[in-house]
Amino acid sequence: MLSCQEVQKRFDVFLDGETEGRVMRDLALHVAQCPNCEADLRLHERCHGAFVGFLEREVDKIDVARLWARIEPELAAPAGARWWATVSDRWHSRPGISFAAPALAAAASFAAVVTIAGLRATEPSAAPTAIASNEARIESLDADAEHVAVWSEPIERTTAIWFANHEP
Amino acid sequence: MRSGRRRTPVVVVMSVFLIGLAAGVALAQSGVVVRVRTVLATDSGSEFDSRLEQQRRQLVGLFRYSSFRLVSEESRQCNFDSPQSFEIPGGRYLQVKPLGNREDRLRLKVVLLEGANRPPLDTLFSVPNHGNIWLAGPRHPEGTLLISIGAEVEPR
Repeated sequence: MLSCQEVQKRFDVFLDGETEGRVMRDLALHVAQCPNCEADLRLHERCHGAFVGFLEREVDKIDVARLWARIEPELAAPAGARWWATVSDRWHSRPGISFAAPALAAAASFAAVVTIAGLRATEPSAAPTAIASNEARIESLDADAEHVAVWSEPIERTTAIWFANHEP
Repeated sequence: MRSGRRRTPVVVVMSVFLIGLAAGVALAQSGVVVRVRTVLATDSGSEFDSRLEQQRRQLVGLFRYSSFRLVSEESRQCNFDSPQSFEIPGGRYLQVKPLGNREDRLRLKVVLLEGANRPPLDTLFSVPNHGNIWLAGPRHPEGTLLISIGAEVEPR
C-alpha cells in the first residue's frame, strides 16, 4: 500500500496516465480510500485542467498560415524533388491533359471514399466504443463479499466494482 | 384570402409529416443493446487476448493481472424494463435490466446469481451511452473473472 506522500508525488503521472497499470491501480485504490488524498487530487486536477486549457488557448492564437508563409521560402527544395518537378512539367505540357487531372482526382477521391466506407462497414461492432468519459454513477450496491471496492482508471474514468472474499 | 387557403393544406401536410417524423425518431430510439463480456484474469503468463485489444487500456489500468483472456461474450438487443439473463462461467447468471435512458446515460439494474445463495452482487448504476463498467472478483478454477457490462441505445 502506498503512503499519502508517495501518492501525492505521483499526481502528475496519475493524471497524465503516464505510468504502468499496476501503479495506476495502486494510486487509484489509495485515492478511493483516502479522503485527504482524494481532495488533493481533485485540486491538482483542477489546476492541471486550467493549465492545459491555458496552453491550448495560447496555441490556438498562433496564426499557422502566417508562420508557414515565413518558413516555406527558407526551406530549400530537397534533391529528391527535382525528378518529380521534371515529370510534373512534362505531364502538364502534354496536349489534351487539362481535363485528365480533374478526372483522375475525382476517380481517386471516389476510390478513397469507397475504400474508407468499406473498411468502416467491416469494422467489428462487438467491442465497446471508446468514449471521452466512461464514468459510471452507482446508485446502490449490495454485495455479499468480504472485500468490496469501487475505483476508476484516470483516463477514460472507467469504473470497476470489486466484490470477492479475496483482495483485488 | 386565396393564398391563405392554399397554404392551409400545405401547413397541415407538413405538420403531419413532422409529427410522424418525430414519432418515428422516438420509436426508433426505444431499443437498447446490452453487451456482456467475461474475461479470465490470471497472474500466470503474459497472454493478452487480441479480441480484448479495444479494452486493453481499461484492463491494464484497472487490474494488476498479467494475463487476460476473453472467455465469453454476448450482445442482446432488448427493450427497456426487460430483464436479460447472461450465463457466466462457473454456473452463474448475470441478470441485467435496462431501466431507462436519460441525458445520454443508461440506467441498469444488475444482479449476479450464484446457485440458491444470496446474490453476491445486486447493484443499480448508470453508464454513458456506449459506455461500460467492470464487475470483478468471482473465482474461476484458473483465476478471477472480470465482467464488462456495456449498453447503448439502438436505433431500430
